[in-house]
Amino acid sequence: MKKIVALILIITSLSISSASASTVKGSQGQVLSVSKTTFKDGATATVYGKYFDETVGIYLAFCVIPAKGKAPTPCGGGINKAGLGEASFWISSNPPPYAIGLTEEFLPGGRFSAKVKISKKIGRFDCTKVKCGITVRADHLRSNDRSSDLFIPITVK
Amino acid sequence: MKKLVLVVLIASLLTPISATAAETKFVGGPLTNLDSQGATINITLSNVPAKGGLYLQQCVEAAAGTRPAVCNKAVELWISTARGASFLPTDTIKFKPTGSFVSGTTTVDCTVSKCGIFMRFDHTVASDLSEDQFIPLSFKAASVGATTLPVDEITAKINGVVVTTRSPITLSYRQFATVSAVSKAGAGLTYTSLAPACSLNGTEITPLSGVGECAISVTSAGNSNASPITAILPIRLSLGVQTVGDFTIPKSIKAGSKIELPSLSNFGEKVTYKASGSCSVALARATVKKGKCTISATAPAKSNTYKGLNQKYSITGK
Repeated sequence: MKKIVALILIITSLSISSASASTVKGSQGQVLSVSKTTFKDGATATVYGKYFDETVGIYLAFCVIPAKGKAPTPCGGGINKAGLGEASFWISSNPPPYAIGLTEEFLPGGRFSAKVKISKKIGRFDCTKVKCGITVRADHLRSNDRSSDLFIPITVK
Repeated sequence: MKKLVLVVLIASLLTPISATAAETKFVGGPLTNLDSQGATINITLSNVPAKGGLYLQQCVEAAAGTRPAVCNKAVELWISTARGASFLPTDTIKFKPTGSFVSGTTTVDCTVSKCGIFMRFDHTVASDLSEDQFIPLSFKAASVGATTLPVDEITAKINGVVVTTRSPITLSYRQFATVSAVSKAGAGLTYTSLAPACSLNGTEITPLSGVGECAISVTSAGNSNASPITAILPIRLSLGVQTVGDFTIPKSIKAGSKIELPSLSNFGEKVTYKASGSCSVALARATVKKGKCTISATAPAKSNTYKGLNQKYSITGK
């Protein structure tokens, strides 16, 4: 009986850890959190950020996780210079004139929240076979700036 | 010998100290026999210090040891790596002085007055005179009948306070602020944020950092009565003031009452409450008993952005 209880506890804890919330912290103190890390194809992940540098615009997207030091690409919804989408978001408090009204502003304290669509496929990439995740990067105005990059791996069922 | 030393000392005092101390190397031309209208001087700068940007102005030479005060605002250039600057320090800079200009109520004729290019640190290091340099210019006599349109004048205010290039305003992180400006000639004005540390939505400014500086430019398009001009309004940034928003607690309340307390500060930080005296706090809810009570609210600071919250509320349960 004790063995069965122990087994149930282990299975429960494993299932909680695979689906539980995840948080990563960036080099500048910025924090990215996601409500859970396992999703079905087409589900939406609730993503929170805080302590971001509000003077730097960011893209928040579901992408293939790149090699270290590379920009995340490809991403669900593609590069979203048009503003908000289901799988990618442009968050900026100081967008260029052509993008005013298309971006989402940071809340005070460098905060944001968004519902990001998770998909099994990103272009030709299958997220059940390659690593995909919620990613943050500096926007295209600082496309070579890797200091804002953050990744939270997501498992797609 | 003593007299000679004294003469040398006096001569060195009369020479602007900054001119000899400037690090920036100026190479440009032509500098002589310039056309009164349409002249362009191509300038390259080297050894530009990283501590700040530069202004290039056309001014009348000032007395030794003082900065020029009579300048042609219409041709002023801002040389900086900051967004909104006229040129990068590494660019080939096109400077376009005019043979005559109006400064305030003074009309300057550069064929008579000694005009030149005055180079100085920008508003980010406004009090540093070490890059002050004056490069003399000379102009051909203007053709008969040529007229000079006076430069428009812009009076600008941020939150009701007059701001100029030389008198910045200080705003704290996320402080509500609006810019307003008036063109003396009645010309149309446009506003632009010159630095990412401040966003500008219409005339509403939002400081996005608690340190450093930003600037708003106000440009007059000019009209038939005045020529165009851009005014730069520097803003110094300070740490934001963290609060629990508009929340207030009454000074007295019926004993046994419960008060819902805000869980987040105005900057999204989790607020921690502690009660002392005749009250208790649990899950951001205060229960007040009969007698005096103090509730303290604290929240952490964020470096370079806002101060920590440390506020006390006094309340009496009756």
